[in-house]
Amino acid sequence: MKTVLQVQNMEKYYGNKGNVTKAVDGISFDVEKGEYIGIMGASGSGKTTLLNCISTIDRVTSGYIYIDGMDVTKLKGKHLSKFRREQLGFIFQDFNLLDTLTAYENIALALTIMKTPAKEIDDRVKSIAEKLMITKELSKYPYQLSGGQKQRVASARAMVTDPTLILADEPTGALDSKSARMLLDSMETMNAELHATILMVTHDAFTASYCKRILFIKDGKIFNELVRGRDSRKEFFDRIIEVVTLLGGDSTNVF
Amino acid sequence: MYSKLAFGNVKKSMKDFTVYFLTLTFGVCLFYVFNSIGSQEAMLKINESQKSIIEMLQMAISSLSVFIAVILGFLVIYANRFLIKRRKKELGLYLCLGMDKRQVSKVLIIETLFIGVFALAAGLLAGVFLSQGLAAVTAKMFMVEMKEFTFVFSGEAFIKTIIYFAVIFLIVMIFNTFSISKVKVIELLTANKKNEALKVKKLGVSVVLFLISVVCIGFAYHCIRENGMMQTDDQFWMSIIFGTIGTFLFFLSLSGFFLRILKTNKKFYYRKLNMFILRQINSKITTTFVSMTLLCLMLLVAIGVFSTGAGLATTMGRDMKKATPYDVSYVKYFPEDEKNSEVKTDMRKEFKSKGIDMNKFVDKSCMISTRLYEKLKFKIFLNGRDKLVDYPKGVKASMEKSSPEIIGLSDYNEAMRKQGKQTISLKSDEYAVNCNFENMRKLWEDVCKDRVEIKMGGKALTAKSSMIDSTYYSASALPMDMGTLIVPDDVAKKIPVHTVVYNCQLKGDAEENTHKLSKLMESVYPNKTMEERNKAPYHTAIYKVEMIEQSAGLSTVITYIAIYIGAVFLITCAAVLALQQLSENSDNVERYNLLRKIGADERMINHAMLAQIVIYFMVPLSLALVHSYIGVKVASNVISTLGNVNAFNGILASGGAILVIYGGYMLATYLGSKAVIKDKNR
Repeated sequence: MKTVLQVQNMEKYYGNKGNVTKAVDGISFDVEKGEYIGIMGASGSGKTTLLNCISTIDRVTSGYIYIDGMDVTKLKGKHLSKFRREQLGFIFQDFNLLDTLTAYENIALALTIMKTPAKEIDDRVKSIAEKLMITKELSKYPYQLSGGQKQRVASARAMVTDPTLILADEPTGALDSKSARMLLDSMETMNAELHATILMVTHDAFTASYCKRILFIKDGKIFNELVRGRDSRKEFFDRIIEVVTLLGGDSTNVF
Repeated sequence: MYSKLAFGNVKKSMKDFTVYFLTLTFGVCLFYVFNSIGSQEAMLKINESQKSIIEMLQMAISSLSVFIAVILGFLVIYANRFLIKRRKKELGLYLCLGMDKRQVSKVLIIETLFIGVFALAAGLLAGVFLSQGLAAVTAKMFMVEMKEFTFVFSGEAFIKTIIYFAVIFLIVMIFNTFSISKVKVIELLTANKKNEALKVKKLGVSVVLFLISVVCIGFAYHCIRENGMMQTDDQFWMSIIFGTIGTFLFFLSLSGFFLRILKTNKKFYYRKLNMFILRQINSKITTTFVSMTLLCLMLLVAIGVFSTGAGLATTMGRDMKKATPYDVSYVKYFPEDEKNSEVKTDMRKEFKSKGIDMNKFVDKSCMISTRLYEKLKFKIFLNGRDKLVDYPKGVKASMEKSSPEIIGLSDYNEAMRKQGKQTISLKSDEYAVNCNFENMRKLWEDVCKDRVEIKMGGKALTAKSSMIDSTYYSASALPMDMGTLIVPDDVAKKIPVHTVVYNCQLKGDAEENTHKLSKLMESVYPNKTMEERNKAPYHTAIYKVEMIEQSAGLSTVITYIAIYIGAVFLITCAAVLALQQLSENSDNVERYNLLRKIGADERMINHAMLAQIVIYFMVPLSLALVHSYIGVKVASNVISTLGNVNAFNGILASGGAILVIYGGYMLATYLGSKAVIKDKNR
């Protein structure tokens, strides 16, 4: 399997002299093509910072991030935008759809920014919409959609450009449990049928149980790693809960 | 404590306040400068009559200022509302922290005061200095010398400005307090998360509405052209009403219409951020079409006032020499149904009998009479030539029914001789045409070329083949001879007298003698009441010197008033547009950040922003320009009944002003927005 993402000894410090916060403190891991990897951790553990650095929205203090063999920490300006629109797809917690555009146009926007020929756009938008079961919603505006539908539109936007890596930041964070389940099913489809490589940040064990592998982060460091293997989702979920208990309830610290 | 908080807020949000602050300063400055015009006379060498013109100007501006203050007041309240809207979250935080509403509005009041006092101070300072420069301009327009430079400060204008703006700010404070007392904390805190309920209209409806609006506007144009702005009849009001409705519908449907059209062009619509830009503009205009309509109409007023004002002013200044060949003219009118064709009036004798010896003043003089032949109407000349006269139908119709003036050959030649010009000769069956009124020229030239035949006094006369464009009649401010027929004396003698004119050239210092003579005449023949006027041997006395002074004065008055109204309207419009854009930036930051995340590069984003700003600024301006093109064209016909108008200079001047003011605001908006949406991480 081809390695899609390679993070090497990445560090991200905030603050100035005398008061340094090590948000990410020397993390290294690899992601293969077609993987569905989750990153878990408590608030403030550094998982969002890690995601931001991978998504090139933030800059690393030291270390390297290779996506598809390219060192993204060295990219600047125009190349950065080009890289982002061609290699990455984003799913955000608060959907981040443009409220002035219809669902169709929101999905198409990712393609128009890439300067995709107008002829191709219609087919690509419609085929991804069909797979994510939002064909009926295409002509609606975001304010006419439910949270789950919005998030599936956002997923379609992330998928439609056929990116190397999809980054999802707490995608179920703003959804009720039913919508969350539907979205996670959709994402599973994306991974299984469309062979999308997904990296998802979450602090919810149920959401994480859909992943194939989970990295646990604590205070900027990798704390543990779980691989689902042949486990059912229920079994995997129980194992995650165990680690989470350990992660949150480090008895020597509390008492 | 509160003032510290308020001051901090102003400092922190300086970027948002800049446009507001500058507009206020500009408004204050204009207000002071124009109200201080009266006191500028201290710097100018002017005489009594010019002084009275300046007083008139001062009065006019004074009453206009109330209206201007109302406009500026609306601007301030509007701008203020925007700034409050932008800061809802901050205000919500204050309330959460336990401040009560009265305290929050106290903070807002102090903020308003801060900005108000600073803007007032800055505006007044700028105004005091600018008014010194304006004195030089006034001097030039009045065609007078400047006395030595004295620093002019108008206490009256100063206090007036302060009072007017104090009232405006007071209203703003009341308004703020009121709006704060109404809101709920939860609304303030979640204000920026709230999705604006977009009013989505079916695009098909937009197309229909757009077509209706175009028809309405077209009909309004048609009405105003027919009406010619000559009278305020039904047609005039129809034009105003349909124009307003049309404009309203235009903005209501414009973006939807274009979206519909451009959407069919997939290649354009699905290219880079075009889709985003169009949708953004669509959502913006569909929520602001009411203010768009108002702005467009205000811009129309600004442009119209600017260009006609400037056109009028240049018309008045020109052609003065040509129009006033005599130093003094006394004119006596006879009623239109006068039957008498013999001239019995001799003004010189009548003056002498009252003790005014004209020989003391007069170098050369002539007494001429014009006549009116009821049976001869303009219709004869207009028939088949009405394309040569550029007047609306109604005016042409009433013109057809009137008669041209007629003058005997010897009277005409006498006048020419006294002016030192060439005399003319006529065959006994000929008449000649004299016309120096620009709009009628082509008509008369054609009449002469065709040698049109008329019947008068039982005789047939043919036109002499070349037209004359001298001024024979009397002193006047403008070349006003719409066409006079010069006929042989034996014909003239049979036609009733219309006016008798006594034209004089004065001896020695014409200016001094004019003043002496006019004083003397006024003491003998006071002309305060109708009765007194009818008793005098003349109805009107026209003195060249006074005419020039008045004309220069009048053009100054018109120009200043035009600039005053035009400038205030223009900055108001530009400021509102700029504030509407800038206040949306906080929403837009989110949108642009998203675009950035999904891979739009900075160039695309800047381009998208610029396109939105330019379109948003240009849409109301474009329609206003089309409106005012029609309006000014019709208005220039009205002005040209006073004399030939050259609106070109006016249009050039107003174009320049619009470019500078409007462009400045547009640039400020672009730079301001760019700074706000700039990516903070890079």
